[in-house]
Amino acid sequence: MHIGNYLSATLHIGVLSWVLLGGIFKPQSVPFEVSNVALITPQEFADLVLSDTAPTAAQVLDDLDPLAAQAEDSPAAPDPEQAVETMRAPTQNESPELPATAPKTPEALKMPTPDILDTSPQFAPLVSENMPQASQVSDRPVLRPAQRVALEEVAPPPPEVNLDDLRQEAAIPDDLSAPVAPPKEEASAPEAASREIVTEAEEMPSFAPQQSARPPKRPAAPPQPEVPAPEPEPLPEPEPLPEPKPEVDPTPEPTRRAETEAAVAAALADAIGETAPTGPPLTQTEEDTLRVAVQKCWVVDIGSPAANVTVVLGMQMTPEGKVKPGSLRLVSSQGGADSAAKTAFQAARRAVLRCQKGGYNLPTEKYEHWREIEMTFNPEKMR
Amino acid sequence: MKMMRYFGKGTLLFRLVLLIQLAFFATLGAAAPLRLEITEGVVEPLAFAAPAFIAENAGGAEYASQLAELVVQDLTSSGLFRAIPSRAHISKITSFSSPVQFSDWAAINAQALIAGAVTAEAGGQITVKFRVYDVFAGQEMGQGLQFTGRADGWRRIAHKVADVVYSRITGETGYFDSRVVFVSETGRKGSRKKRLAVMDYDGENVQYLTDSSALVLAPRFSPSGDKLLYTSYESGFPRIYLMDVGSARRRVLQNSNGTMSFAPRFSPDGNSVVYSLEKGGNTDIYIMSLSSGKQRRLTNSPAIETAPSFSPDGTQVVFESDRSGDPQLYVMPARGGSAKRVSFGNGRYGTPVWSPRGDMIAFTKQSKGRFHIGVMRVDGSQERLLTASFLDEGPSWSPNGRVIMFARETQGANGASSLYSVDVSGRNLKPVRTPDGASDPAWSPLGG
Repeated sequence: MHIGNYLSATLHIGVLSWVLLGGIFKPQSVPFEVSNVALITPQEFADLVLSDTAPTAAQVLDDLDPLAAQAEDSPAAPDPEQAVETMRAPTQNESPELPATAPKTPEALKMPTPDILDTSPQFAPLVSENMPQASQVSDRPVLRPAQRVALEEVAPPPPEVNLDDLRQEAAIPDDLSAPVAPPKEEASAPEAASREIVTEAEEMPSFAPQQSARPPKRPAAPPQPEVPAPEPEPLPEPEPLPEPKPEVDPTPEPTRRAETEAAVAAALADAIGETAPTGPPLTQTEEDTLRVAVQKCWVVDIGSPAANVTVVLGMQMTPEGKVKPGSLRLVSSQGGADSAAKTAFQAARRAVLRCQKGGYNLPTEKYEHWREIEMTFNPEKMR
Repeated sequence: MKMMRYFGKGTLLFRLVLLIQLAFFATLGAAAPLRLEITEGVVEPLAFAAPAFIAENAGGAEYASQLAELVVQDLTSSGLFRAIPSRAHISKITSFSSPVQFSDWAAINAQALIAGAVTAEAGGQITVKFRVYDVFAGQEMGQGLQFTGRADGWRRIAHKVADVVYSRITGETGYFDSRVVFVSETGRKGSRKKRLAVMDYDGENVQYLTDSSALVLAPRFSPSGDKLLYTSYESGFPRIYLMDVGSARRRVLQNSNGTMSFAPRFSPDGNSVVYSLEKGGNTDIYIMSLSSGKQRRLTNSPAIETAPSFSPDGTQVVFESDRSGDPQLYVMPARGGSAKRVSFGNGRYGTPVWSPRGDMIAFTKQSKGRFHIGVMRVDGSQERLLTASFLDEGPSWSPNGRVIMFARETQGANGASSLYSVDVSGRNLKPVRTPDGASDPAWSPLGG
């Protein structure tokens, strides 16, 4: 059965259980107002309608804003000045190290560390009276004048080389009639791993490039000559931190809804046993890293019937990048008999387990994306 | 207003709808597995460890080491396995029943482990038991197995152990417990003496079946491995003989006057023989029933047609014919009939042999002054040449269809013929040790 059916059944059961046992259907006492009704005359009714009975703005606020009302009754709010002092940004003269007991700064209140020097740099004036105009200055640096006279006496050069009168005997070729031992043939195939098989009948592959190398990229444009920067502007005053709102007890409606959603999501995750991955998926480079790590341990026996079988392995991973024991399974196979599929599966399993060592190099922060992996081992290109 | 009252925030219905929505999206967003495709592996021998077998009594100690050594030799000779030397072993197998420390074997990168024990029994027999482990999976491959046999036949027991290990790891049957019949050659080129010989696949236990009084050619094992067909010039003309391997008794199969018969092969059921018969200057292919002696012509062409070989299912025959001008390969029904050409490459093709697996045909090819052993699909596609030399010819398949043995002759007046083997993938080309020169190899069935 499809996993969705399981999930649907689980969720339905969960909802029904919650509905039945969670007390959700307890009759809630809907608040209503009780007013005394009195019979009045039409004239009195007309007077009532015409009169201005709308409440004042102050009254409306008082009635609808429970926070304000609660704030009056709540204990004194913390001093905003004190709160800001605790979370203030480091100044440029302070050590960047935070005290160990420093409270965790909320993300919204973090101040960027100013990347400035202790002392303001001194810049030369843009234009000096003694300097030539910018248009007359060459970009190339001017060579410093060299000393025309050496400080030490230079040794005379060595005399020229004269040819010797020695005679050399002409080389005598070896006795060609002597039997030449035939080259020893390779007793067996080299053990080094390779990605392809070159038979004796095939020519040795040429290592010469088949086509000209791609021209190198054009060098990046030279950096523009630095123009003396203007005087650095004074650091902007850090924006005053917003005053912390006084904590109020009655939870507003949005917060309560978010909590409900979070609780339901957590319950679902527990029920399903997994959580939907969040954040960006693995990059192509990260996937390639895993692929290369596995394929260098995948030994393909090209002459075997198993080389005609494509198998898909499923596995669960630990956060350390290792295969969970007992989780490796054959998901499917295609292209051969059962015995060949079994052999292909065993070879693929050895590849995955042999190369994991301390764990595959996978980004821990993206664990939800690779906690379950399905690898297809397709030897088609190897045949 | 009423609707708002029912669906407003905080109401029961609102919470229910919210719950259902969350359940739906949570189901949709359940973590899908990361999917990768691996398309490139490596071609290298599988590393394994085979420590010396445990001698379970004093009599077994004589065989404990050499049994393991021969198993190692068999497996490594296939080119598919690489033995990790015993000096690199971290862990020792001290008892056949003790648990295996897989981490120790994984540390030396052994992917498979063979643990065995040998016991000498009364009556000159030994019992060898063994287990094969997948080290990284941490489990045994199959179940433990044991063989009992004569102590002087310990080599054959070791070959059987190697066959089982090979089968457990590769999924194919092995070929180590097999024999090869061949033509042993001595003397100078042009005046060579030839006689039939049979040996283990690894060149051990050579036995001669004929003397060198007559020229012999092309021996072939029967499917059961107890009979041989070969061609002999004993009568002055080539004739086909049937020999019982155990007793070395023989009889001529075809003795029509004025004819020459040669290139015989058994049918897969062993009841018939297909061969070439030259009559009146024309060579065609015939089939003969071994029980009745009746023969029937399968081809009828003015061309030379020879070297027939049955498909494993016995329904087709591949043979060599020059009906198109040059020798090429053709396939026809086993009952005869129209033949279909399957070789179309440049050069001359000959001596086709159908693979025991049924999916390939091995052949000899002459092209541009060189000889090759090659393979192709039965429809002629995917031709691959595995060897190249001055003279390679006469391919023969191993019983599992994985290795091809053939004869290679060196150039010159002192050129000699010897046997070579090559994996069907083209790897592991190596000479086969024989006491003298050798040609015309033919592999026996497994256990033959």
